[in-house]
This record gives sequence, C-alpha cells and structure tokens, in this order.
Amino acid sequence: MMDWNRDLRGAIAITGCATAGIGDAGGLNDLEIASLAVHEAVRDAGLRMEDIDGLMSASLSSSMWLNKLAEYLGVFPRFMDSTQIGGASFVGHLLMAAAAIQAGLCRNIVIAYGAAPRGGNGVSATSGARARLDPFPYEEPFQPFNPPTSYALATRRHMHEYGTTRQQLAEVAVAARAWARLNPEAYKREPLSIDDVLSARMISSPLTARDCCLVTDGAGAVVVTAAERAATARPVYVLGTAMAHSHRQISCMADLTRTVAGQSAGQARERAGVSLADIDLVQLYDAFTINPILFLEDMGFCRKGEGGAFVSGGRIAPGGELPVNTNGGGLSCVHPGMYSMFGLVEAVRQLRGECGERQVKQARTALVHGNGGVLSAQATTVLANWID
Amino acid sequence: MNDARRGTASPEAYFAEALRAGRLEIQVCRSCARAFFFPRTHCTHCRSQDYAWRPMRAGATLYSYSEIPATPQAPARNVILADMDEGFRMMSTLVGAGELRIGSRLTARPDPQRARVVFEQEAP
Repeated sequence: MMDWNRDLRGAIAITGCATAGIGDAGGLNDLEIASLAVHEAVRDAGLRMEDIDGLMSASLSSSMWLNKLAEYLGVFPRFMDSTQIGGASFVGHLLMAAAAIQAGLCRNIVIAYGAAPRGGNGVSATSGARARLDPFPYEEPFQPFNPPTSYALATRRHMHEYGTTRQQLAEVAVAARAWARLNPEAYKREPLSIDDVLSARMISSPLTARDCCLVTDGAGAVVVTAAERAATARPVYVLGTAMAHSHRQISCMADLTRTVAGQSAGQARERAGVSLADIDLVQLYDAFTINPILFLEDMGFCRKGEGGAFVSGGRIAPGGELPVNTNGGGLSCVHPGMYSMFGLVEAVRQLRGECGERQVKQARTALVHGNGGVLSAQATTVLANWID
Repeated sequence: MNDARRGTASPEAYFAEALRAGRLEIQVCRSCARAFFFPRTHCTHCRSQDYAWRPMRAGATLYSYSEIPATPQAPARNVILADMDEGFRMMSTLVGAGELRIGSRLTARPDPQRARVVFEQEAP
C-alpha cells in the first residue's frame, strides 16, 4: 500500500543545531535557555532570525507555549505546530516539518525545546497541578510514582517473561555513563559501576535511582529547510520519519514487554529506504534502563526477550559493536522532561563528525528514536549525511 | 440504567458512584457480550454504544507489580496490574497479607471510602 509520498524522502535537511544550559542552566529559565539554543542553531544554519517562518515546539506546562516562545524570540512564523506526544514530540515534529516544507507552507522551520526543572518546576514538583488539570481516575487512587512506576511495571514483567536481570538493566546505565565520560557537555561524568546502580536508592522496584533518567536543565534546537536549499556545507538529510501510538496509561498497554517502537522504526526505515544493517549509530530515548532493551528488541536489533543479553558486555558502550546514546543519554547527559530533542542534536553532531573523543567512526546513517508518556507514543527518524 | 445506555449519563461518574455505594460494576457490551474497562462511552471491542452495567466478577491474576518506598510526601505502597478473569486489566494495590508474585490469584473488592477497587490474595 502506498502510504507515503516518496518525494518526502530526504525532502528536508537539518542545517543547524545547538544546545544550551545542559545540566545546570545557572538559574536561567525555560524561555531563556530555549532562546539561546534557537539563536545559536539559526546562526549555525547560516540563516538570520528573520528567515525563520516556521516554529515547532512542545511544553509540559504552558498551554500556548508556541506563541509564548515566538513572542520571546520576536519571530512571526506562518507555520506553527505543537504536536505534543510527550518526549517523542521533537522526533515526531520532523514528520510534519517535511510535509509542511514540501507543501510550501513555509521554508525554514526551527524545532525547539527548553526546560529548566532544576529551578523547582520539575515533573514531580508540578505533578499535583497537572493531576488536577489532566486527571487519571483509574490510576491516581493507587499513587503510582509516575513516570517511574509505570516503567517499573514493564520492567518487572520483562524480567518475569524473559529472565532479564537487574544486572542487565544496570549495563544500560553503565554504558550510558561510559559515553557521558567522553562528552564534556554531559551532566554526570563520574565513574559508575554495575554495583553502584544496583545499590542506589530504590525508587519504584525494581528500578533504583540509577535506573532512572536525570532531572536536569537543558535546551536544544534544530533548523530544518528544504534539502535543495540547504545553505550549509554539511546538511543532515531527514530520510524518513514515522510515529505510532498505543495507549496513554500503563494499565491500558496490551503487552508491557512490547512497544510500538517496532512499528514507528520499521515504517521510518521503509520510508528512508535503509535496512538495520545500514544504521551506524542509534539514539534511543533512555528515560529508564528498560527502554533501550525494549526498543532494541522491538526494532529488530535482537529478538524479543534477548535485549538484556544484547546490551551486556559493553555492546552498546564506547568501542562496542552498536553505538547507542553516544552523548550519555537521558541517564547521564541531560533530561529536562522530554528528551528526544537531544537525541536529534547528538545524531546531527555525529553525522557531521563533530564529536571528538566520542565520535563514531564512519558515521553515515543514524536512527533517532523518541518515546513519549509511559511507553505510550513512539516516533522514529532516520538521518544521514548522504542522499542518493 | 437507561440513561447510561443512551449515552446521557457519565460512565466515569456511574462507576465511581457504584464504588462509593460498595458495588463493583463493569460495563458489558450488549452487542458482543464482552466486558470492557476503563468506563467509557463505547465498547472497546466492537465500538457499540449499547452496554449494560453488570456486577463485576472478582477473580484476577497478578500481571505485574512495583513497590514504592515511603517518602516524606507519601507512605510506602505497592502498585499492581491485575488481569481480570473477564478479560480486562486494572491498576490497583494488593492489601492485607500476601506475597507479590506474578501469576498469583487475587480477589477484587470495592474500597468505598476512596472510590477505588483494591485486591486481596485469593483465599486458598
């Protein structure tokens, strides 16, 4: 079935990217660090702010965030989209960006994100207010500590069905930290061992604090434009993007060991025309240590149930056969609440060869995967520094 | 429950009111005869709007669980997912004595004070 206009393959390129306020933004707020990232990304793309006629972003707390951000930036976009599918949003935005630019709705889109939870407005600090505005009457009476408890339920089920161990989960955190140690921008860079992960404070069993992502400040932005108009020397082509939904509440997820990441990744690869073997590096939203295990299985890098063994022995760490989350991920680099923007920026930097000590050799094609909610929404894109 | 069948009553409100009155009720589709949860306007299996509220069967199997240690904000607690014998899943908590073990048999009962369903280990 023809479900995709083939002209969209590689129709847009990422021509600029930037981060700001990664880790501790020093008291700067959401808008301030987002603005820093946007201005730098636009400069990096060889454009002026006046050239920006499309704006995309998402926020966990501001109901008219896009207008607020445009106002702050002093831009007047003629295309705006704020698709909010949790942490998967920014990867998903590439799908609408490709369609919008191909349809002539605008020329240069900035996709931006910024949040500074260390100032006191973290996900847990605001959860009471959000619960009043956005109730979940069939889960809240049991006080799950969300999001960790929902992921803990998936983890426990995966351990039960496939014999996945806490040591194997810890391998994911240890690999992320090993990458972070090579990344000057990463927030957590001290050594981390399997024992450190296992003996950390229990958050929601079987997940300890080190199985859970950081809560840091951070902003990121990418500039996308029609591939044939890319003004930069090293455009990164967006070959194909796809998204998928399965549920909102973990109690409505049919099988807690199977996400729809397989669907979004399969469709993104099909649209991009690349096989798994073509993928040189992978950025997976690692909100919790179970996530990369589930996504690698669902995407077909290994068989269902074998993810724990797959991530062990340093396979996804520096020097391993599959580079995963080369910036240190949400577990060790940055996690303000919705991470996928940082997977995008890291993939662009890798494909441009800008990553210094952590640079993946001959990085040509990257798969970036965003996850939203509690394994609820999935979005995948395939990026490359080539186009055929 | 004519109002509920015609879609003029809130399924969410009906479910909570039944719980507060000490009754465990579930929507059963008149079209495909299957139960569905959480309460909503149309059957999740066949999309029919023609349903009835029936007493819920209490038997369930533990699908997954997590234990959350006490914090200054909240007491220690467990959160479970229970697969009901009638074919739907609920989030809840295991109360009373009993081991949290995937596959163990559970029995649902209403907790009227908090308008929620809780579970106990099934009597041997």
